[in-house]
Amino acid sequence: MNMDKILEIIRELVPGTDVAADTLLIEDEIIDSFDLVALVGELSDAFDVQIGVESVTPENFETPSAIASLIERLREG
Amino acid sequence: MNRLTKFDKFSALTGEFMQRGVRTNFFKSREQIERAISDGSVYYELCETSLLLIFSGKVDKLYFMLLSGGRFPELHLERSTVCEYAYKTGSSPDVADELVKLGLLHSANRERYEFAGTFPSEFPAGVRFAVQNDLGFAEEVLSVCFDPLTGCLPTRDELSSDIAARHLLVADGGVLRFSTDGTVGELNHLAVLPKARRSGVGSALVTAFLAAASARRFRLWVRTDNPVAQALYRRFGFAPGRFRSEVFTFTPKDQSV
Repeated sequence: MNMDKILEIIRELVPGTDVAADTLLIEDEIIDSFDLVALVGELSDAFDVQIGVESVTPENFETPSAIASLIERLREG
Repeated sequence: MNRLTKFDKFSALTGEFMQRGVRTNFFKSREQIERAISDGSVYYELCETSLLLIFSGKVDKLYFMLLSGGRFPELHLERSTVCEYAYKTGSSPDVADELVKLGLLHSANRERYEFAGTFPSEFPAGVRFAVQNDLGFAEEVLSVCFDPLTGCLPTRDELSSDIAARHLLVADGGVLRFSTDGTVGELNHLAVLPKARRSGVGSALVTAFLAAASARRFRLWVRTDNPVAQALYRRFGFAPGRFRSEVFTFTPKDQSV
């Protein structure tokens, strides 16, 4: 399932953090813009989608759920 | 250099480079990118291991996406150009050599300060939000106080938008520009004319910023060779945080900015 995979990727990127589907990733500074590129790379590999820089916005990465919807949109798109 | 005319092309180019291990200093919103492309001011140079993007303006801004171990494409800069990249304190950025090969010189370091002080209880006297009539004054003060090459100075249009959004504060002899997304307030420029310095104008403007910007956290970038500004911010409870940046510049021969 997408969400489990997304959570696993984030936990690997920022070890020692408690992350759930509705965790505020950007607002609570769990990830910052410097981590975002790494995260996008991992997500692209894991879900075989192409995420352009223009999709790397705070809204799209607000929570793991928001990331899941972004991936859905890109897969349909 | 190739001019970018379509957003789809931009998306495809950058999409290829959003992968594991890539280093980049490119963070712009889709809106900013689309506007620049429609103005015809975005150029690119591509090779297998890297993509260079130039956003042309008063001063050209250079952005890169570099695969690990990769090299930059050949590029002959002709106009005044600035390239700033940020990294986490403690990590070592290693694109400096590549930038030097392009002809850029290291010219400044900046540090990101985070606010951990106490909030002012009142908006200070002597400071007010700028109106459109203050545009000329704001431009003048900013140009006196900031290096045109490294100062990331806003255009007249950007200043005008700041005024409309109530993101520009003025006092006698000084201005302060900020931005906020509701969570993080960032102080972008603080400028005080030399004759108005040491009179509390800077402090009043920073107090007003903290009181006016509706945000939960506050931050700013300050040059490491500017102890006067650092001391001012530290007095308010700003302190160096997790990020630093290096600023590289290129100036064409026989030409000043």
